[in-house]
Amino acid sequence: MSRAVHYDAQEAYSPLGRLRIQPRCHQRCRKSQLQYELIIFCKPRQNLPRVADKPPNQGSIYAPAQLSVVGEEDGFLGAGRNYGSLGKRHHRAIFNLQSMSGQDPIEQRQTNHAKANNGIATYCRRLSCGPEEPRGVDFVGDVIQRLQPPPFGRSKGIVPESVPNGIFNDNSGGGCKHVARKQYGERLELSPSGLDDSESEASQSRRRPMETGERDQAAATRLKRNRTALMDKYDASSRRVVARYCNSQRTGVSIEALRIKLTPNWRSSWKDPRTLMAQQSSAQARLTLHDAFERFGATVTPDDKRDFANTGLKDVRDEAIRIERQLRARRTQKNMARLEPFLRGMEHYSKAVEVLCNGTPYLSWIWAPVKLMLMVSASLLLHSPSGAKGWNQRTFADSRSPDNHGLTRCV
Amino acid sequence: MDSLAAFEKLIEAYGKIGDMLPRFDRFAAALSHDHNFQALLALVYADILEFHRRAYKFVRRKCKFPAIVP
Repeated sequence: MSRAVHYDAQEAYSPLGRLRIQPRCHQRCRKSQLQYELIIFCKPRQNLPRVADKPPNQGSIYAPAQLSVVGEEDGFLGAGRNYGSLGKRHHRAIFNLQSMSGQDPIEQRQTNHAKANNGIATYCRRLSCGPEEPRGVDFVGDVIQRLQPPPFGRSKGIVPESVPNGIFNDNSGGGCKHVARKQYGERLELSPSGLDDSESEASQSRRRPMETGERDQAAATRLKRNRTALMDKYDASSRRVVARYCNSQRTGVSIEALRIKLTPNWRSSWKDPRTLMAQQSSAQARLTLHDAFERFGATVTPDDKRDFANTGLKDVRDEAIRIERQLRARRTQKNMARLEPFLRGMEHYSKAVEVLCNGTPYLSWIWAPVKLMLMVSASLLLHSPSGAKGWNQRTFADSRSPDNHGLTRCV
Repeated sequence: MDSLAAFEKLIEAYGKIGDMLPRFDRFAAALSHDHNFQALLALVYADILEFHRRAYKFVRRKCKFPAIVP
């Protein structure tokens, strides 16, 4: 599972993280007061975003040779972003960076799940406006911190220097931020306390640029905090690695990067991003199920729907046996044994797919139509007389004897 | 006789589907939390339902021209 780690203006050197964008010069965004975020998820080290050696206040994204992206500072990114040698047009210019953007909360949720489950670095353009923020974010490792209220439409009030425990009374801009914090803050891997004052710092630095000494100090404090959090998280054997890693980075420590470090065989588990791209998450599997179900359900009449919901695999088997018996009585022996592997396969399959179908009527719909189909075609074969309509009747208008073996129901 | 052939074809189709279904129970035991496997399951489900959908439409279709089928 990928985890995102907080990344903001003061954590410009975080090897992996979130980049927040204030689309200042974006006209459309200004109108609707949207706030964009750049979230970068990353599993394999090759894709690990790293910041180039650049002073943190230049507002550029640089991509060094080893395909790392990222690094944005001061949070003032608009449409004119610099990607260094990888092009300037769009995030897609960055190799190995998947770009996703959900247009509504449902899509947003799906993209959240998808990006958290595949291992590629992901750029997620996230809509965060209105009081429902965080929209669709319900994944444990997801980024839910909203660092800074939008710069527009915000009163010029005094931003508190340090915010105690994530409660930030700012009703003018990002009013829902503290709700998010309350709800999700404790699920974050890093202690959110480190994120709080960085937030105020971020908004502060928007007004006046921080002096270098101040910035370094803030970064050092944060680094210390992060390190403590990580130390608590990992056991003693890993601490050495953690410490070394923390020291090697100037600011900010990514848990994900650390996890990679602590996993000895990360290299063998690395997969080609293109295959990862094709990889589907469980959420997407559910989506596939849902789509198939809806598609089929649209053609089925309500009566049949009810039947389908109440049909078990045993019913199908019983029906098949019954039909076989009837056919045998009529000396039209069919190869009904052919159905047996199908039913057995269904049995196994249903056990496997049960997990995905939990709490949904999907499961019985795999085999219920079989019963229906068998009944219909067998009733044609046995030319049921009752209420057969359309082609049933016509097809068998000239067929054999009029008796039917108690096939009471013409389906 | 048409219906006989249709019935046989139907059974044959189900048999083919059954042949194609691998031993999902064992896979499920090993890979139950693998996202790829779940995606595969979902795709299989979608395929089976697509087959059902077409068969259902065929069975339930309304014919307005009785003269076509003798």
